[in-house]
Amino acid sequence: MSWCTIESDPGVFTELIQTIGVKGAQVEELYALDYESLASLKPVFGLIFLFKWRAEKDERPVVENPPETLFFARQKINNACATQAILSILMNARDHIELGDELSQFYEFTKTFSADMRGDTIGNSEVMRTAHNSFARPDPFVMEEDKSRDDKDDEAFHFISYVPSKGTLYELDGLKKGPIIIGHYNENEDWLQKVVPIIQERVARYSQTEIKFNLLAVMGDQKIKYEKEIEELTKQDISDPTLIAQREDRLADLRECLNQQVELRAKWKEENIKRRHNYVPFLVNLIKVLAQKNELMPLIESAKNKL
Amino acid sequence: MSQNLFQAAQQAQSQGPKPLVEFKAGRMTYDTNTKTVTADKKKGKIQIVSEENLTRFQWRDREQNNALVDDYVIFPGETKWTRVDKVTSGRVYLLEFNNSTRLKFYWLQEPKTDNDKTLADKVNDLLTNGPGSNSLTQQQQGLMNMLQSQVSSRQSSSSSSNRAPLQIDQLQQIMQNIGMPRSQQQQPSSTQSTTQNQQQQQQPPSASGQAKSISLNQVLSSDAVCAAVQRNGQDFVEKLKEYLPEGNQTSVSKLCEHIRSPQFKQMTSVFNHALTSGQLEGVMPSFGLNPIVGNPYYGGVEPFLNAVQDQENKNNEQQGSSSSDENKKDKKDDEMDTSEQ
Repeated sequence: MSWCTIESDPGVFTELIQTIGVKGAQVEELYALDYESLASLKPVFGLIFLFKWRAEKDERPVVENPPETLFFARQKINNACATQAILSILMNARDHIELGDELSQFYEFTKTFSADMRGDTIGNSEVMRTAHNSFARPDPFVMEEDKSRDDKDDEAFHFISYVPSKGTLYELDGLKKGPIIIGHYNENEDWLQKVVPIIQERVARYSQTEIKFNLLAVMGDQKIKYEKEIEELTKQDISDPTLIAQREDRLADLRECLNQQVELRAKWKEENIKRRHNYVPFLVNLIKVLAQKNELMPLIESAKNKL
Repeated sequence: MSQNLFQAAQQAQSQGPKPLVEFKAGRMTYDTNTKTVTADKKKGKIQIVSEENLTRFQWRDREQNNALVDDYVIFPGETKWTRVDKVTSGRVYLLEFNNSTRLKFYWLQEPKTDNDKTLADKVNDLLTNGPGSNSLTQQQQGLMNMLQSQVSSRQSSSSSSNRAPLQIDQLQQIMQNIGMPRSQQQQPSSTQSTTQNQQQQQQPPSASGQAKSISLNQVLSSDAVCAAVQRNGQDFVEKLKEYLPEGNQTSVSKLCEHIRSPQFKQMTSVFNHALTSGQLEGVMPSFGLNPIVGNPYYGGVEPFLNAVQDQENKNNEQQGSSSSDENKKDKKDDEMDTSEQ
């Protein structure tokens, strides 16, 4: 029962977690890593640092016996590291989102498990695997690619999650024996303020090397967030014309943001359809039709001229 | 991703079949612009292997875990292995292809020279007669026929006849410029430039053509393909809509959206890689094409596309004749209609 490789894309991850039954969360890629941009996305449940894996000396101590309230699982399966990183964040955000039946049961079932056993349990979860594998590209060559990827660990991408849990900031790396404590925050403090410099430091370190990296955030459903805020603002009973004008400005901004989210979702939907589509028959028949219409030879010639 | 595919293919090949002959040798690069041949110091080995009834001449890199670098399918009698006597600073051999201007030079890295002659004879025997038997297997004969028709059709389709076999005198001129490691041949620059000039006149310009080849992604550049789609309009869409997720909802702009999508481009490059690494040889018949166009050595992107074009031309001819039959039938029907009236 293998897990296929899937594309690391916010649209893929968001649909994936919705398929598993999670409500009120979405995944987005971050292009700026300053506190202001992050804060505008609140609530943010966790961040994912994604980079090309390489052997790295890391002497930071791991927590041997993490508190039961923290969800940490060792990575026991190939190709599922992204899914696992996202799951870890969702599990630790269980007080703020609806996990859905599947993940709630999973959480209860593995509550007392060791990190190793949790990892195994993820690997054996049929619902999670099916949701994950539904993003496999349906082309005949992908099998061979997967085989080669299994042999080549150095080509693998690695995902590390950063999560807040009961006043402590953790780095969760499924390849390590346990979670790593990277800081603390007060319950009334914003954990994002604490985590930004830590990730900035890591980004700076990787920027000096050739290593490519991406940042993803698991956050509250932005569409619902804007809809709620619009609804609340409209309900407010105010008569002061200045306040009304201010409200109208704010509403215009919110509607713009909401619109962007609606468009983003439409784009994700389209892209996911394309991802699941087998383009081989289209490709071969496109070439045939180009040949029928006498368009193929000119294309070959112009490609050759550009060599 | 495609790199993984490639490396996997290489890995698989590094544990290839037991060679019929094997000896240590290095590669030499032939620069078609300067017409010079330079030895590569890398340690390597030449192998001749028989795989699925095909003889292959291969060079493997001993410094890179015997990775396969050169791999030529050899048809009996099509190639020659000759010592380049002109070079005295090393033992240089030339693999010559009768049907093309391709020249592959190698230099022996065997420590002792005792065996050189025996090895060369063995190589030539295998290249001429194939492994074991003196006659071609049926499959090889079939491939030969296909190949010849392929070559001749390619020649006729290209307007200039620049694929003429290399002449001996040209070969000799190239030999003069061979350089070996350690003892670099010193030549007065003036003579070199004159020989180069002569060669540039005589040398067919396509000698370098084999090194560069187009990829499917280059041919199917989204701008050019979308322009073609727009020229042909809805008729184009009708023929392709069943292969797209929208089905009947497909429009010209939707079609172009797919052509421009990273998913389609990615698929195209995966297909391109599979095509050029021989993974599609067995699939070609299902496209109604000859498997040879999926062979990485004789096929490749251009032969594959040419084969599709040839096939469509044939279909067009057939359809043309059948549609004219239909026209006749229509006319008859019309006549009958009028007669009934």
